[in-house]
Amino acid sequence: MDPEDAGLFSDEQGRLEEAIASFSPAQPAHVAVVSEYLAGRDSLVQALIPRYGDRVSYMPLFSVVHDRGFLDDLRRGPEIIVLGDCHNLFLRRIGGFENLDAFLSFAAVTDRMLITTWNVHAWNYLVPVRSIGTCFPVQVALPRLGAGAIKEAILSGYTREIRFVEDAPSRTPVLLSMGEKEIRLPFGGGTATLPWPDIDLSPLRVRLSGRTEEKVAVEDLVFEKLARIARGNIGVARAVWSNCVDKDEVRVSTIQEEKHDLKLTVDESFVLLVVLSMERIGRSDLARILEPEIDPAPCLFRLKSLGIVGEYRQGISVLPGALAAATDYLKKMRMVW
Amino acid sequence: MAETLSLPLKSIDPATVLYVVYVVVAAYLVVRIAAYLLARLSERSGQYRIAVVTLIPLTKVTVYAVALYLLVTAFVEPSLSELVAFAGFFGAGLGFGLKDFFADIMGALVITFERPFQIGDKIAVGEKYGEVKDIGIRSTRIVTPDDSLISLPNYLIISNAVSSANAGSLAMMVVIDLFVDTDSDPERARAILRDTLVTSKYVYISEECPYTILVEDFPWYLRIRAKGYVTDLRFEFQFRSDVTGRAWAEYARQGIRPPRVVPGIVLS
Repeated sequence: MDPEDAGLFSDEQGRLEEAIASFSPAQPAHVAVVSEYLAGRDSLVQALIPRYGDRVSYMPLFSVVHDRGFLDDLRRGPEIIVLGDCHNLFLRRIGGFENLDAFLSFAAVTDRMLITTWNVHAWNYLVPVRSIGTCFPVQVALPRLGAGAIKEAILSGYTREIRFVEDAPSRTPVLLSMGEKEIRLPFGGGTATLPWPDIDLSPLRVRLSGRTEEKVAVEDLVFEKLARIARGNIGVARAVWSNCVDKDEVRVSTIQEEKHDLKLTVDESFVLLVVLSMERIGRSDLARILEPEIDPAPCLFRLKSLGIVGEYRQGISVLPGALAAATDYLKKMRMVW
Repeated sequence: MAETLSLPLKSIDPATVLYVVYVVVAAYLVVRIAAYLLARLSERSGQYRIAVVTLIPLTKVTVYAVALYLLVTAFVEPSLSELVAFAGFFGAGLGFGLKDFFADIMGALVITFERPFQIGDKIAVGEKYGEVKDIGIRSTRIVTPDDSLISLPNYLIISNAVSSANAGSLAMMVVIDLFVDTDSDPERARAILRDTLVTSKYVYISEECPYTILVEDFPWYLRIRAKGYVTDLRFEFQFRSDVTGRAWAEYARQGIRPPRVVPGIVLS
């Protein structure tokens, strides 16, 4: 995550500063910063450190917390403590909430101000399950960014000029175009490609709104597409961008949304849910959540083969390009809410 | 001399017969195809599954009503007085032989428009319990937990108390009772069942669908009752089994034992 990304959330930064300004040890109003994976909450809270110096300390939880030693660190900390990735305080298993409960008990009695960051799906789960919302009266949800903000953030990292090439006929205002769709014939008859209608309502919307069609610069077209694919998530936008930029040149046609037609079993969906809400989780912690009913290996193999999750040294996480598809699928299955 | 009343029947020729056959076959095909497509679409619609399948009975009633109108107008061309007379004859016919059949059709209309339940709901009618698979013109089909298909006449449904466990929603409350020995720590037993419920892969929790854990003391045992919503009512029994199995495994690990007296058995 880029430290400059903090500037993308000036309103949220203002709310944090306001909360800090009104902090008094007698009435510490703890803060929860909530966002989806890669959406930039780390940059937002890290930006507080240079501004408040010794008054604040940043303690990110890089992996699942297995004991209560972190509470000692909190007790020794300065008056404002920023605790990052608090979804690592619990495991979704029997007895997996003990550290979280201890933390919430600490938060209820401490005279320090706690600024915490959470994954939005873990937060939405814990609010009805453990009523954590009551402990954090100030809740800051990071908004989805528009194409302009994403453009500014990405291009600010370049000193050289980026060339944008319009190699896709995407400016034609066509309402209905014909594409192709491959279908599987019944009774083992193989596959066949059929003409398939592709409906784009945006030209119609422009006409209905009475606006005249404006000529959009290729550069803006690229970032509109990028923002749409990333759904306003700066981390996902950066990941998609880095796959498209080649020798300081970006072609419109290379910015493509990953298509995932997911159909998972309940076990696979549950594994995906755990990975999505924990953001990064090690195999051993995942196994502890799933044991003894679910064997994580076949589920992970399937999710990896579908291009949904990846496994790295830091742990297993959802691939940026598949974040939207994974979230949509789990929402459809009502496993995230 | 009393005036005789007769319906202005059209002449019936081979073309009329063919027309009737076309209308009946077309109505049947449209209903089957629409039901198939809507069922397929509903399976891909996730949380909107039940909303989509609700259109199936509505489509059936509409298509069959149009088909009936086309058939009637193929044979007769009634004026208002003739229509009234026809309705009288028709009513007499109903009274004699077709009462139950038409009661079922009226039942289908009531179920379609009043919607006491929808396709996909889990309902109980009398002692029959199961998931509604189809609301037909004559009967409603439900699949019981042991996978038996039961056809319930629509008349029977509208004349009986029907309980719908989910009332059109995918979420359905499931009540899970565990009975433990009176020597067990009730708070510990409650906490374990709470954790088991909220960590289940089938649970759905929100402000509208909260969970509850209740402890009740009986003379020979403690009842720990969990009430929670399942993500999709199709997983009702898997949810129950998942929570019960994992909770008992944890109870056994922590020394919480089942009661020495089986609940429901009267001591001699």
